[in-house]
Amino acid sequence: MPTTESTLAPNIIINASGLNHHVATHAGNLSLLNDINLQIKQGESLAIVGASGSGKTTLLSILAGLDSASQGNVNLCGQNLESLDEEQRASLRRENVGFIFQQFLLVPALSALENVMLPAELKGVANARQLAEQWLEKVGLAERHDHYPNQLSGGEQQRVAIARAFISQPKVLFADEPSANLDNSNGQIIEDLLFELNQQSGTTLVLVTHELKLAERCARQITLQAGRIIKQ
Amino acid sequence: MKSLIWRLFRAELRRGELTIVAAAIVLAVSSVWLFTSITDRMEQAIFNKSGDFIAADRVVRSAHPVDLPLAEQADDLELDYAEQLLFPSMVYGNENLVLASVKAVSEQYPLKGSLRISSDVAGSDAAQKQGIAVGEAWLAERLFYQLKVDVGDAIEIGEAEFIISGRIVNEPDAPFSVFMTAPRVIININDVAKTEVVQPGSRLAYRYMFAGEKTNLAEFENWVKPLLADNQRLVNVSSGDSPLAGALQKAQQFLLLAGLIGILLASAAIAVASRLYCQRHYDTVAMFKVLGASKPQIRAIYLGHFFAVIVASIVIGVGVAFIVQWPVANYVESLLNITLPSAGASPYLMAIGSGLICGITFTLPTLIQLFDIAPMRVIRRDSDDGVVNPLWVGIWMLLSVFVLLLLYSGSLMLSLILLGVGIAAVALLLVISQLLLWFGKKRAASLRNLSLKIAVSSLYKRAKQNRVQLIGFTVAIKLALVVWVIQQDLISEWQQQLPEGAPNHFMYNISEPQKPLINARFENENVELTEMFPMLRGRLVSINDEVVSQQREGEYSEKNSSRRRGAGRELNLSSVANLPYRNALLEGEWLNASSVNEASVEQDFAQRLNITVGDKLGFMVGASEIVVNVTSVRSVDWNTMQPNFYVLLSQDILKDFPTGYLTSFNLPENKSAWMAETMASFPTLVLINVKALITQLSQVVDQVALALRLVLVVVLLASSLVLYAQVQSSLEERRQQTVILRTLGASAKLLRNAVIYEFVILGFLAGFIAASAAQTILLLLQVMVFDIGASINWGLWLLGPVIGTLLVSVMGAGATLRLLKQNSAQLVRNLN
Ligand SMILES: Nc1ncnc2c1ncn2[C@@H]1O[C@H](COP(=O)(O)OP(=O)(O)OP(=O)(O)O)[C@@H](O)[C@H]1O
Ligand SMILES: [Mg+2]
Repeated sequence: MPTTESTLAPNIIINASGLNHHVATHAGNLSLLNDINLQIKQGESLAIVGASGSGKTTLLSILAGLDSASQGNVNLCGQNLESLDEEQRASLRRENVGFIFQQFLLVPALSALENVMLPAELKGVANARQLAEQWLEKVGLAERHDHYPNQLSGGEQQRVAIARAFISQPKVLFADEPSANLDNSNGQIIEDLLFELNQQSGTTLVLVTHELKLAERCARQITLQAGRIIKQ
Repeated sequence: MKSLIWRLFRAELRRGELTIVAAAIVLAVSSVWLFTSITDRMEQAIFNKSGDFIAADRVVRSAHPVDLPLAEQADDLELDYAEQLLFPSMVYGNENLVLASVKAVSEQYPLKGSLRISSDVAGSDAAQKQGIAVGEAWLAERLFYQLKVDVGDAIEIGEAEFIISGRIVNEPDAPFSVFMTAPRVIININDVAKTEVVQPGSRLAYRYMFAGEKTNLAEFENWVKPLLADNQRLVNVSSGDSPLAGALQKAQQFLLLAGLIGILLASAAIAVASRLYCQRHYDTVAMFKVLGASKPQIRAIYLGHFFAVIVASIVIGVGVAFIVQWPVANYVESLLNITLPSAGASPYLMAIGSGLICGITFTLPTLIQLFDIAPMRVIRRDSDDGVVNPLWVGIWMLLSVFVLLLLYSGSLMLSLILLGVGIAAVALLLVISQLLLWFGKKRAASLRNLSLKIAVSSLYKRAKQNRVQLIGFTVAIKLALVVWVIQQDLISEWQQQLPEGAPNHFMYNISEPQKPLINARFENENVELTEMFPMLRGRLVSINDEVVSQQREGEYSEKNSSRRRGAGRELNLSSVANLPYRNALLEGEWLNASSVNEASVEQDFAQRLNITVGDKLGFMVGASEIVVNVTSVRSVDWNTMQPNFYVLLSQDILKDFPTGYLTSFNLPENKSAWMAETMASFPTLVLINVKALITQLSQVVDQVALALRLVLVVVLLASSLVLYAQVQSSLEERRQQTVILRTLGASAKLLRNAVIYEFVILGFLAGFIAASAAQTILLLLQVMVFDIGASINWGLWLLGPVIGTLLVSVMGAGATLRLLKQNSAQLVRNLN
């Protein structure tokens, strides 16, 4: 385990400072993120809102350590992401982070139960199956253990994804438009489930959305425009 | 973790994701097994059988007694051993005197093949014999006519008397140049001294014969080779210059080449299939990584899967081979009338070994790429759907291919040809595809047909991945074409040498007055005679007025003679109107009716004696000397069993001499009685029956041809598998687009057509480039390996593009249809 010392207050779980991100395109350098500074407290829930293309997903993936910013630092759970290699970041995610994506992203070869078990198994948890059964029950899919993703509706798939995100009891949960692919009522179910479980387990939640109504359920909102935070 | 690996593995099995990889490995394993077992055993059996042609496995030939403990050595090595002594001698019987070629044999002769002796002159019954009793003699059929003797009569050879006890029906190691040698008499080797014919200086040929186990023979060879003097030679059936030897050597090279290509194709199938598998798992691996899976965990999962697949496929492959070999071996044995030797353990070891090597080397690079997939892929697919192979993968694959080629062929040249042309083809492919795509992009904008437009623009968009696909298609088509053409070439070459209905009898010593009588007699009986070749025996005495040596071939050397090299023996001269069958004019002009004092010489003869067009040759014919100008040089196919001559003269010369004639004909089975009658009424004629020889030869050719076809089937299977895997892999890359277009409401027809157009273009391109590459490889192989004369094969240029286009587009269309049958909702779900 890396031992990068944190100089932050103990209750800050994510600290991003001076983030700039740009990519090279045919048309030259395209700036995606500009001078992002952001601190998120343990247990806090934060909504990142903004128009489509404003850089929400880009920011999320950098905060979660899936991608590296061109400039700047991210400190996640006491670890400076810049100083970690790919492996160390994976292990950081394994121990501390959960994800929920707009496109659900279940492993098609595995059943609902097996998908939920996956993070626990990667972590080496002994009673992964029991845990997964419990979590599937919590998301209301106790009956659908053995179904494969393509046998589940979108809403059901996303519930499996939520169970999968919570099973490893992450310190931080990243959710990118979790209900955007669903109809209103299914979206509502997912959102309720997400906040309910989040409350129960005291997880830090970083939620990307373009729906203001959903954003308002979070304790704090920031708004992105063309890669800048225009409203804290 | 272990249970996760196992669970994922079961899921993959259920979804059939690993089937193509497994099929490719199974194919590799079973084809290696087949090559090393059946074809190798077939080859062994054929060689065993063709040992018949020299009546042994190995023969030491010498003009003098060999002063080595050969018999003792054979005994030590548990080899069978026999001796022969050949010498020409006059044979006297019933007051006639004829020059015969006497073969004195020890009682073990022949060690291989069948010596068949009939107890009367005309009958068709014959018994298998070994050795001959002291005091007895067996005679060639024509000697009975020439000497006017019968079985039971006495003949004299030198000072000794022999009782004729049979007629020679089949002599396994009869010379191939049968129609010009003196008729055979076989006696016991212990009778030679009695004849007192063998004197210092007489023309003798000693043959020491050996037969036995392969390893013992090899050991014997190692022992004897360094001990032999310059004028002593160790021969086996393929070192001879018989038509058979040529056929066998070529077949052997072909089997080697085809085996190599089969393995290459199986390897390509494995590489393509594992690429397909990995493509399908990029998203899953990225997801695993997002969830925090470490690289060792991911490695454990996928290496575990592949290890299990490789092991299982090897087991299945060996099982399949084992089951398949029964009917195949039985079929081969019954068809060819041979007994296959037992396979032993080595095919299993080879098959398992190559399964492991191919399985590991050709899946590892794609797997390593899979392990390196970035977790970011979950969020954004940067480069479409395919990950393009980096340089090291290319180098790794090339190196593995080269090592495999070298291992199997042991021939650097063969390996370099296959690899070199392969690389050149890939380079050509890159250039052509780039040009076409560039051109296509310009045209695409103006295309009216929407399907075609989608096809062209999608080809362009995935130019990099398409190149990889093109390489896969091209390799598969190219290698199959090479094998197909070569086996066709070889078989048709052999068939031309021994055409159906070719003459199986030679008749000579026909005098001028007999000529019309013979013609009439044969016409009556509907037996067609080939041309009547006039025959003149002459001695080459000078070249460009320089007197040449008369020393025998083999005795002459520049050191021991002050004279220029001569022919070494009396020559048969003839004259024909047209260039004979399978002769080719190399230089100068062919003789015509108005040529005066001209001659055409055979290429090897001209080379040996250093004769070129424009030289003057002097011959002594009887008591008169003739001088002719060389006006052409010919090549001759000596393997055809047709009359052939070193020197052909213009027609004006033969007019001045009393000549005999030679002719040949194909005698039907039911006319042997008539033939015997003919010989009785023309006792001066000499008849030579080469039927047995031709039958034996064409049998061997049939056997070899069958081996070639069997190999072709395996190669075609492997090639189809590569194509199939490649089509699947290409579709995988098109899937996203197809699904999206489908969701947008594009009609199935539009989509299908788009995919078909795309595959038609890819298939045509691949087929065309495959044809060019195959043609290049073929030219190189023909010239450098098979020695069968370079030729452009037009069929190939047609077949390559047609097959490429058809196979690729049909397979592509089939797979797309399956995709399109699902409704959009299912499609979108499966996308995740
Ligand atoms: N690797 C890249 N290359 C080029 N452009 C990129 C790359 N990554 C992101 N972008 C661009 O950056 C912008 C921000 O992308 P991002 O996915 O973060 O937007 P978003 O705010 O999540 O939008 P949405 O609400 O539609 O999901 C987009 O215009 C996107 O096209
Ligand atoms: Mg987004």
